[in-house]
Amino acid sequence: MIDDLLRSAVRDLADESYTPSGIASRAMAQGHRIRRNRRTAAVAGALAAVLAVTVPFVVLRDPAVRPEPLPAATPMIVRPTFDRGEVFRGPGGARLLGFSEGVENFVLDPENGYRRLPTADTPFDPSPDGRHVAVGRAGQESLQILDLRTGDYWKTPVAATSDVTWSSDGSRLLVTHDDGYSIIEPATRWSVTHRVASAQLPCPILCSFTWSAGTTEVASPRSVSRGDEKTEVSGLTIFDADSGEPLRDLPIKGAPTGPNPWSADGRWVLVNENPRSSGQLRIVEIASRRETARFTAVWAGFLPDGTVLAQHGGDLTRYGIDGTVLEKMELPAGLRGRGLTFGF
Amino acid sequence: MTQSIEAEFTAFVVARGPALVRIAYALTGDQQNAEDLVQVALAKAFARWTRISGDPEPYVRRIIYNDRVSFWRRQSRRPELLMADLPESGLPGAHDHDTTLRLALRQALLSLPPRQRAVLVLRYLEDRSVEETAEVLGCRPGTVASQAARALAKLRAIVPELNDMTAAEVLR
Repeated sequence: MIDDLLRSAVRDLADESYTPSGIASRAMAQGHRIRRNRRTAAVAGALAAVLAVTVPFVVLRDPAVRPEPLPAATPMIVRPTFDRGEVFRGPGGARLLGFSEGVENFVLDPENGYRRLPTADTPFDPSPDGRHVAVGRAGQESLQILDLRTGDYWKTPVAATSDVTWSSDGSRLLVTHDDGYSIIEPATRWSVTHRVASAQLPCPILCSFTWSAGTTEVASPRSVSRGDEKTEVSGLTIFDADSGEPLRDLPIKGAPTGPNPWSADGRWVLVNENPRSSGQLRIVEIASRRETARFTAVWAGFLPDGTVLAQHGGDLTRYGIDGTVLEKMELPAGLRGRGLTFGF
Repeated sequence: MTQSIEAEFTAFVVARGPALVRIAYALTGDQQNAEDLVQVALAKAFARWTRISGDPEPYVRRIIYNDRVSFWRRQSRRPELLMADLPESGLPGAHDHDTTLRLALRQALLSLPPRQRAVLVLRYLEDRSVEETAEVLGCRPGTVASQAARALAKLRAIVPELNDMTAAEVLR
């Protein structure tokens, strides 16, 4: 197994290091210098910061706009069973399109329930319409599209990666690369790759592209660095999906996250405010930049009706736009701890 | 007060410094670069030592990964040229197939771009899950998996013997 070899190789490499002497005293000396520099900068910036924060607030404060208290959760917990021969539906009717179990992967075949994929395939994501699966195959560098109806594989000209996102209608696949993105259209066997200059898109460590509305635009967060080690999202850049040209910037301070982070009507977006602390998600109204809900989840996505489906631990929850808990489902034992992909 | 902070910090470095240098060495492939990386991370941590709540190690580790990957980004996609020399000895049974493969793999690891290597170090040296790796690197789990897939593809291209093997853990 390559995993064992890799583990040994990485550990052998680390074992070549030796314990340095005097690193604590050198670090403390350097740390004292950092502190002194910070104090100097803090004093110089204090007055400007106070003015920058208070003046616009005093001038622009609108007493009508107040943060809305989040409503209390009203859980109605459902505990369904799971049968591999039948379609499993989560809250809001979302279909379970696939799941992984150890090294085995299963995808939904609407006629026969969940079927096991060949072990040579590493499935990255089934399409929301349940028609295709993006897969990687051992020893092959390109991403392949498996047609679940015909069983045919299409070897795309796009490099294999698992950072893929299907459009909500399942017609297009967005593939994130180190330096840009690709769009793949399985029905027409068309694809295009755009390289985005790093200066044009300063992403937080790694760029992540998501569909921003329908199938024509994609978004990626921009970052700013505050201090030595903290990176924050300063806004989003929207690109034309087909041409790769930047269209506009959105002043949303958070990275779109999850399998379907934009509402169908384009009014709301699910974001992770700090890309370094996953799990705390917010629903933001795009026009006003107002946060309407905040919750903890490993993933979340908008359903077609504008509500949000999220997983946290062994629970699936459907939230209203204001954070109201509309439905809560406890995952059956057969799906707990599995990697789940739902259709949105 | 200052003395107690310095004593606490020193005790932390004595206890955890070797583990941090191991991580940094796996990331850089070089002792001096590893020490520099750790020293800068420790200095940043020391500068705000009193404001770090709880165990400072995750904070320091995060700075190490961030600085390493950020450094690479600042290099404007300059090709990675770090290729440390093979150790003269130190691995028993240097002639058996597994050892040869591991040595070849070591060289191949050093040719990976820093963020791909960072993913492998988090997954295999620190035994982090995909989700935990994503949190440290500030990206989506899918991005971690794609970086791992790219790393594997590159390793397979450099070490053809890997083509016959399957990877179960790193991609999930």
